[in-house]
Amino acid sequence: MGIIGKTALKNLKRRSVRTLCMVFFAFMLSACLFCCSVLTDSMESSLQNTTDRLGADIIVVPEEYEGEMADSLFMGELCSFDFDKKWADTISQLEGVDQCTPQLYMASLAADCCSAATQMIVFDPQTDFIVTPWLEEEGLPLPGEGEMYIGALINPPEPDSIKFFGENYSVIGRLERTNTSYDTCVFMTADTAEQIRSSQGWADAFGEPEQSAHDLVSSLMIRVEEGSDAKAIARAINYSIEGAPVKAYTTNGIFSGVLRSVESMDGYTRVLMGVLLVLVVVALASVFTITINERTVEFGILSSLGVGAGRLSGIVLAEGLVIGLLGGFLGAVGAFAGLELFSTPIKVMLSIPRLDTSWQYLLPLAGTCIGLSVAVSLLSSLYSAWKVGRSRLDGLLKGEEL
Amino acid sequence: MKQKIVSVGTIFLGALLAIGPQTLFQPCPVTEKVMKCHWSAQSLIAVGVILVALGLAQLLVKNDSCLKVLCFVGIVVFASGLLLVNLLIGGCANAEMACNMKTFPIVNGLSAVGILLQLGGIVRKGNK
Repeated sequence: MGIIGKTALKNLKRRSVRTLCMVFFAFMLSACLFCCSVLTDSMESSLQNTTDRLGADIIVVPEEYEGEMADSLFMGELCSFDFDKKWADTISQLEGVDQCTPQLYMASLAADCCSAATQMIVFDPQTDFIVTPWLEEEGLPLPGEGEMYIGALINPPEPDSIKFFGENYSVIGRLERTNTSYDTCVFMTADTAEQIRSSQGWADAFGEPEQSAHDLVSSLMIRVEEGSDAKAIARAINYSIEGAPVKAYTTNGIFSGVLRSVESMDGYTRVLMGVLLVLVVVALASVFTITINERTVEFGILSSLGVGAGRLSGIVLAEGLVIGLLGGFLGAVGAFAGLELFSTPIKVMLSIPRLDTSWQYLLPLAGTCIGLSVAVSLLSSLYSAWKVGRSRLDGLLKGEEL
Repeated sequence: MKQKIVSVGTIFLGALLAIGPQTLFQPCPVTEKVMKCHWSAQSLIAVGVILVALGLAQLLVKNDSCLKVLCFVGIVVFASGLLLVNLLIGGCANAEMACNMKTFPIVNGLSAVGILLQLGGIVRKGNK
């Protein structure tokens, strides 16, 4: 490390309280950028993962359960609603519909009757294009009667069986992690669903079922023909089934509330970062100006000993660099620690399914935060460095204001 | 002065960890089924008592290297508290339960502050 760096470090160590105060500004900037980026990017990636995993262009659900459906898909909240399967048969025949598969959602209870409160998804292997390809990718067979697959985050007390409504069912596999709500679901066919609905535990909880699981549908997942406009097809479906208790939504449409939240959050964070950036630059520039003015005699002595103007400016810039580096690093680390320690309440209060804390994402983000802190700190010290470099020796020694 | 700050801070955080989960930031209420978070909160009583005793020892010790050793022990005890509530015992599966929303985040925060305090006690310039 050169003489400039060593002098700068000694200056900063000597005035530790002042240094800490300046580092604090850089810390706040870095921590704020880190937190805001993780929160907004996590929400966006969760939405993207869910949309990609869904694989459907249009979703048909009962109109009054549109919000519940979006919460279930995005946040993994439990839902249980259904409509008559006759509408599925009608819709699948409409023009523009390439593939159409029904799904039935049932929710278990957080009680002794069940291993856990879980979302049960019943799919039709003959028409399904969401779960079946997933199983085929992993070389897994379709579940038979009494069998089911569990999502990556389901942990029943017994690894090979899971209890719903007082009856045990065989777990034949665990699906890979998708970072979507599917990780907290179990997947089965209608035969198994019928077993569950026919059990005494189900009757005790919900009463005797009026219809068979084979005749009920919670949602229709639709893929449109290649080159078709999903919005137009959704409109056509709604027109064709006018008066029906169900409505067709595009994938973006059903997540419109979430999309608006993401855009709002993005907007708020941009404004916050802009305001914070200005405040930190002004604050650091002010502190640098004040402290450099207090140290004019010190710079005068250095100058009289032969230290050139460039080196004098270099000392000031080096101090700015160290403050930016230290503040940026501590801000990124502190923000990461805070997000990890308080991840659960943050996720619940902001309705974010998961926080992206992979190293591939966090390391470049930390680098960006540190880079911004360094840039802001250097920018703030620029004026003071320039003034020190341009001042006359007699002015410095007299302690004149720069 | 810094020795007093570290020791009093340790005593205060220890008392908070012992008493807090029983009073101020309670986990899920105990019903017919006793949840895991209840036992996590109970285990923190022991952690808190150890920390209070450790804090008293830090206050009374005269030797700087003894203080550093006690601060190192403090880090281990605070980390044990973190391990107990997050890994070894844990809490409820539902993220919206009181233990996950209130008790454990506060305990995690207090433990993190405690660890930083002990680190401050280790790196301080002290009398030999």
